[in-house]
Order: sequence, then C-alpha cells, then structure tokens
Amino acid sequence: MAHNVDIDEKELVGLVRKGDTAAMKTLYCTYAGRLAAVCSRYVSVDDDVKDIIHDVFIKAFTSIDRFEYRGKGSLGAWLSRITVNEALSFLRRNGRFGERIDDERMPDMADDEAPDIDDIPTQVIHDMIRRLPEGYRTVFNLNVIDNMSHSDIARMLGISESTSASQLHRAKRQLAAWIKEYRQKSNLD
Amino acid sequence: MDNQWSDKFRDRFDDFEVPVPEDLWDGIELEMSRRAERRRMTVLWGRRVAAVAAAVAVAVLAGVGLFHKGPEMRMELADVVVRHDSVEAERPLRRDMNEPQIAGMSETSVADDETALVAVADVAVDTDVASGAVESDGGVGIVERQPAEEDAAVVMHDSGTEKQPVRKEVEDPAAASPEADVEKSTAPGANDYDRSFTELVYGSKSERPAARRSSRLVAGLQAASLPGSSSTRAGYAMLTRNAAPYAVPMNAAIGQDPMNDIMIYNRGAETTSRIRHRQPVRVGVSLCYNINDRFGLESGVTYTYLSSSLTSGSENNRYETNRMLHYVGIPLSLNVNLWRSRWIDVYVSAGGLMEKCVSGRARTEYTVGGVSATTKTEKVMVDPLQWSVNAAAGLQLNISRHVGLYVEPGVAYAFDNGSDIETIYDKHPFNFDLTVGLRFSFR
Repeated sequence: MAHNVDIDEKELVGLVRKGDTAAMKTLYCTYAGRLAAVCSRYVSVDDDVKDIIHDVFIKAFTSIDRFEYRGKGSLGAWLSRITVNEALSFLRRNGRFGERIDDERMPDMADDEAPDIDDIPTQVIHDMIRRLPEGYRTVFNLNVIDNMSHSDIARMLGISESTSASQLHRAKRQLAAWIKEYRQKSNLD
Repeated sequence: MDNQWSDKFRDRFDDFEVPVPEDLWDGIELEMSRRAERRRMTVLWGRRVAAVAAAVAVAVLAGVGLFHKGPEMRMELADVVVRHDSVEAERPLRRDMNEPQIAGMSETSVADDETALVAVADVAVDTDVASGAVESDGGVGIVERQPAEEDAAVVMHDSGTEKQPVRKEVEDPAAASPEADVEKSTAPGANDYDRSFTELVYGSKSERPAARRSSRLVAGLQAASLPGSSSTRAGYAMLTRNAAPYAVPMNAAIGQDPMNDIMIYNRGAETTSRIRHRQPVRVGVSLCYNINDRFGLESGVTYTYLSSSLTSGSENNRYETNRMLHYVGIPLSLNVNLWRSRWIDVYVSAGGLMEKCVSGRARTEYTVGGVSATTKTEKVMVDPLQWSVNAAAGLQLNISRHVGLYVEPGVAYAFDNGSDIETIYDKHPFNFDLTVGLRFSFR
C-alpha cells in the first residue's frame, strides 16, 4: 500500500470526520506501517500488535472530531500518541513492568562505551528492543524514543522515578551488549 | 551512555515502518460500518417515539382548534319518515335523512371558499376566514384557481351518470309553489353567477417524507388542509346525493314534525339552500423507508376532519345541519429524490391514500316561525372507503442534520366512493394542494 505523502492531510481529516470510508482507508494506508512499528516496540507478540493497531484506528476514526489539525506532523503525532497509549493499556492489562533481568547476567560494561549503531539496520535494532524485558523496554521506548520524562513515565506506569531511571539504565546496558555482540558477529568491528 | 546515543536511536525510528497483515484493514472497515449501523438504529428507535408523540400533540392541537363549537346537544333521533315520490322510486333510499322537495336546477352557484389554515408547529385553525382574504400562520400563498368541476345541482343528481334536473316530477301539490317560487327566483340568481374565485390552496396530502442523506428511515409530521367549497342555490337541499324530494304528507298537522312545519310555512315563500364544505384538515405521521439514495417508500397514518354545513329554507323557517366526519387513512407513496445538497432537497412523489370514515355526526337545527324549535343529532357513517391518488413535488430546507422543513405543492384526485354522503371529495375531486411539514430523519 503506497503512502501518499503529498495528500492534503487537513482535507483528509475533514473527509474522515464526515465518515468518508475512502478517506479512512487512505489514512490507514499512510500510517498503518508507522504505527505498527511504534506499537511493536512496546509489544513483542505480533498478533497482539495487530489487535492493538485495529483498536488504534477505530479509536482514531471515532474520535477524529476531537483532533485539531495544527500543521504538518500533527496528525502523525496524534496517531502515535494514541498508539502508545493503547500499547501501554495492553501492557498494563497483561504485563509486568517490574520484571527485570538478573543483574548478574548483565555483562559488565564501562559506562562510556556506546557502540556505534549507524551501520546497523534499523530492523535489527528494532528486534533487539523487542527482545528486552517488558519493564526495560517500556521505559526505554518512552524515554529514549518517545521522549517522555522520568517523572511522566513514573506517573504513567505507577512506578517511582528512580525505578524508571534504573530501568532505563539497564535497558541501555543490555542493548549496548547486544549491539556489540551483533557487530562482532557481523564483522562490523 | 550519553544523550547523543539516545538521540541516534530516536532518529532511526522516526520513519520506521513494519509490514502490517493484509486483513487488518478489512477488520477495521467492518467494525466501522457496524458501529455506524448500530448508531443509526439506536437513534432511530429513540426518536421514533418522540416523533410519534409530537405528531399526536399536533393532532390534538388541531382537534382542539377545530372543535371549538362547544358541546352538541344530543337528542334522541326521532323517527324520520322518508317519503318519496312514485317517480323517484328508482332512486336509492337513503338513510334516515329527510328528503325535502328539491327543485330548481339553475342555481346561482357562488363559490366562496373558506380558508382553514393549519401550521405545523403551532396549530391554529381558523374556519371562518372570509372568502378571498387569506391570513396564514404557515406563510402559504394564495393561488387563483378554477375549479376542475362545478357540480351544479349536486344534491339532486345521480352523482356520476346523468345530470338531469329533477323538475316537475313531484306530484305533491305542496311542491308546486316552492317550485314556482324557485323559478321566479332563479332568474335574478343567474346573473350573480360568479365562477372565478380565490382560494387558498392547501395540502390534501398526507405524509411525504423523502430520502434524507443516508438515513434509512425518516419520519414526518405534517398538517394540511384542502380547499373548501360552498355553494348557494334556490330551493331545499341535503348533504347527500341522490336526494329524493321530500313530500309533506297531505294531512300533516303543524307541530308534529319540524320538517313538515318548515315546508308548510314556507309555502309561497322563497327558499334558498347554502351548502358549505369546509376545508378538510389533515394531520398525520409517517415513516419513509429509503430503498436507496434516490428512492423511498413511505406510509403512515392520517387523520382528516371534514366539516360541512347546510342551511336550507327561508329566514324564518329553515333547517341547519352541521356535519362532522372523521376519517382515518393510510397513505402509500413513492418518493424520488431529484437533487440534494447540504441545505436543500428537491424531490417528487406519487402515491395514494385510502381513508375510511370512522365516525361522523350530523346535527340539524330546525327553526320554525323564527324560533329554533328542535335539534336532532344523528350518527353518520360513510361505509365505503375513500380512495385518492396524488402527486407532488417537494422542496425541503434542511434546518439541521435531523430536521427539515418542507413544502410540497401537489395534485390529488379523490375517487367517487359511491356513497350518498356528499363530501368535499365529491364536490372537488380534483384538487391542487400544498402541504407544509417537518421531517425528522435519523442516521
């Protein structure tokens, strides 16, 4: 499904508001891939991702009246917001945020060692993130990629700020370890 | 782990996409259509009740406005002797109505139509507006109109077959003088013959909701009234067709029967009759099922009120009959939407209406010697169904998503139902009319 970057998003939103099914489909085609990517960072099982994205679009179409178009990117941001919220709701219902990896299994690493990721395919990094334990993964996603502060994360997940910070730290360390491993295996280093 | 590293992560995922399963959209589309359907049905059922309640309210208001004459006097109906002339023996025997002697064919027929105005929202019925003057709550205009058919001596003819004056068939000597008098009086009468008149054209339509956007069921409220008619002629008359002449029995004594008294006292005097069929008023509620965007099939229930009055005789000796008939009807019509926009819908419709008189009452007041002597009330029943067909064009102004205000000029033809009871439908079977109404539609 091609996504049409040139489409007038404001117009599209207007049509979706009126219940235009073709406009809904266009919106879907434009954003489904992106939103599925966001969701699958949080939720590791693909079938769950599919269900969540279904709910995301239903929610978007039914509450489109509440969306105010504020320029380029505002629609994408709004949809991402919905996606993250839906993913978190799912995790809250089904997951355990407090889970953590046994620290002993974590490889020792100097704090300033941050392996290069520029030459690693995004899909690989994506898969690595998905492999993280849920608690680490959620905090990592919210803080690093979706730009949320620890205090907001703490409030949203019902954990303390310090837990949030330590989860993040651990997530980063784990990812660094995996990246290093990958680089060695792929002969990038 | 510094912020730069984190930022790199962020940038990587900016435009990142993963493939989505093929059937994901189908599921979304299905659920969206299910939700739309569910919403339609809920609103529909909820509002249908409101629409019916509103229709009932309008009907009640219309009824209250119409029945302002006050309580009727009820008296036991005395046995009315029906006599008819031997020549008239072929004419069907009518029920319980006096058969006066009828004479004089060349009536002066002056149609001064009344206007009864009914607005939809606030029902105000004014049955006594002078002819030609139009005051409207509904803002409907006046239309010059020639009657499609002027049935001159309606009371005395066979309704459809032949229009022959009933003259000189009366052998009763008592009849002779009224007839002679009539002939005298018809001469000046003929000069007053006036055929053109103004009447307010109002709807004889029942419901006509048309298709509205994508809603499948549409309900409508409307009230309408049809053109009325009135005519004046010399001689005696009845509110029925095929009236055979009434003959006063030879040895009739005064004081036994008011009709006899009137006839006797009027011997040698000039008598006139004036029949008025007031504008029928119709209210109704309807539902329209939208087959698709263009066509809709509509039905519902209507209530029509027909009021007629007759004054016959002379100044001091006369009888006055007021008759009220209540009809309930079921319309069926097909609506075709021609053009639709945000504000305006344009459509045409065609269909029919089947009505049945469910109740009727006639009150006759006899004035003998200038004194109102007797009043008789009797039930009137019109047995046959009243069928009519109609066609109209409509313009609807969409006030809101759910409410539209419409006007529908149209034509209707009422079929002769073969009944002797003469109504406005017999007088003016072919009518132009105008309906205004409110239409509710549900998504």
